[in-house]
Amino acid sequence: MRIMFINNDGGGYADYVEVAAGTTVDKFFSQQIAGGKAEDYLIRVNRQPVPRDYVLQEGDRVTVTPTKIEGALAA
Amino acid sequence: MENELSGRRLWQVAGAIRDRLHAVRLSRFHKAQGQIQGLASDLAELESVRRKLSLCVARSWTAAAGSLMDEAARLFRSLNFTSKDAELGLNKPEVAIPNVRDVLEELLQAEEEFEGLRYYPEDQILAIVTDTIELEGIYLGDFEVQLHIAALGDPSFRSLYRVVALDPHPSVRNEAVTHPHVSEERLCAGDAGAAIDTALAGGRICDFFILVRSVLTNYNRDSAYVTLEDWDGAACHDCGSVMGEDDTYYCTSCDNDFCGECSSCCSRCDETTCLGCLETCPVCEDSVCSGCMTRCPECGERLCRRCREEARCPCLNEEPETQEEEKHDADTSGIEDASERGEADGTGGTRDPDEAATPVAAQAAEEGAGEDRASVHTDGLGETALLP
Repeated sequence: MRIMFINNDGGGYADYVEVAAGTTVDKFFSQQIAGGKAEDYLIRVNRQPVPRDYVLQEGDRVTVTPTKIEGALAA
Repeated sequence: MENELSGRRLWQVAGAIRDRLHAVRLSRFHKAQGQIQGLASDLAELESVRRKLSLCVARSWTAAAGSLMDEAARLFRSLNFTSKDAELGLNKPEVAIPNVRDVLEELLQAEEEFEGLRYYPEDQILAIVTDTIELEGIYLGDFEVQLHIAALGDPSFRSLYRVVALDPHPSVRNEAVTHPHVSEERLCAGDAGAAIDTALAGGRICDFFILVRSVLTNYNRDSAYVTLEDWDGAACHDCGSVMGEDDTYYCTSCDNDFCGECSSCCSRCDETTCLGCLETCPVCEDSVCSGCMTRCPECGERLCRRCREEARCPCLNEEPETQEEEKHDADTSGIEDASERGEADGTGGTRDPDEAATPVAAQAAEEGAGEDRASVHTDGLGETALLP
C-alpha cells in the first residue's frame, strides 16, 4: 500500500512510499530513520499523534520531525 | 486575544499563503521562459551566421569568413552559459503547491500544536508562541515565531521570519542575542535550514513552526552567538564579579578576563593589563607590563624600557656625579691659585668671571703666552685640548 511520508529530518522531503500491510508506526520509523530514536522525533499520522503500535493505512500521511536540532552561528 | 486567528480569518490567511506560493511558482515559470527565450535568440543568430558563412565560403571571401568565425565562437560561448543556467533552473525539483484546504489544515494543526495562532493583518504576519524556554538552567523566556507571508518566496530569506523574545532575557554580553542561536530576532537555523526551506516552499506551515521550535529548544555550544556559560557575563579572574561584554578587559600578559576595577593599562605600550601583571618601575614609578620591563645592563636592576633607553638607572648617574665633584675640586683649586697669583702681581686677585670659570684654560694661556703655534681650549669639564 502507499502512504504519504514527510520527512523533516536533514534536507526535508515529501513523497509517497510503499509499505507492507500491517506495518506499525514504530516499524515504519525504524525503516525510514536509520539509527534514529523515536523519542527524539515528533511523529504525526494524519496530523494527529498516534500510539507506537498504530497500524498504517492506505493513504495515511506520516510526518516525522526531529525535536532536537542544532542551531548555528550565522556565517 | 485580539490577534488570535480563528474561523473565517483562518480561511483568508490560508488563501493568502496559497496565493503567495502560487505567485512564487509562477515567477519560476517566468524565469524559465526568459531563459528559453535567450537560448532561442542565440540559436537564431547562429543560423544567420551559418548562412553568411556559406556565402563567404562559396565566394572565397576569406576575410569576411574569418570575422564570422569569431562571431560564431562568441555565440557558442553564450549558448553554453545560457543552456547550463537554464538546465539548472529547469531541473530544480518541482514542489507541489497545496490547495487552500491543505494550507488550512496546516494552520489548524499549528493551532493545536502551539495552542493558538496569532495573525497581524497590517504586516501579514502569522505567528505562534513557544512555551517558556530554559536551556541548561538559563531562563530565556517564551518566543514568538513570526512568519511574514508577503515575503514567502522572497530571495532575501533573512526577512522571511523572525524570532521575537516576549519576555527577553538577553545575554549580558550582547543585548541583541536573546537565545544562543538568535541575534537581532534572526534565527540561525543550522541543521534545520534546508528542512525549513523545503517546508515553506511546500506550504507546510506547521512543520515550519515545529522545526523552528526544535532549534529553539536545543543548544549547540560549539556554534552559539553567546555560549550559555557566558550568558550572564564572565567572572572577573581576579575578584570574581560578573562582567558584561563592554566591561570585560582581556589581559594580554596572563590571557584572562578582568573587570575594570582589576585592570589598567601599561604606561609604555598601552596594552590592557591586569593589576597583578603590572609592575612599578623603581626609577620612574610608572605602572608597566612585564613585556615593557627589562634590566639595567650595568647593575641588573629591574626598570622599564624607557628608563633603560634614557639611561636613567641610578647606577648610571653615579659616574657623572663623581666627575662633577672632580670639576668642583678643580674649580676651587684654580680660584685659589689665581687668587694667590693675583695677590703676588698686585691685581688683588680680581678676575674675569669667564676666566674664573675656566681656570685650567686661563692657567694654560698664561703658560703659553707669546706662543702662536697652539691655543688652548676647554670643553667645560676641566679637560683641555690642543687645537691646530
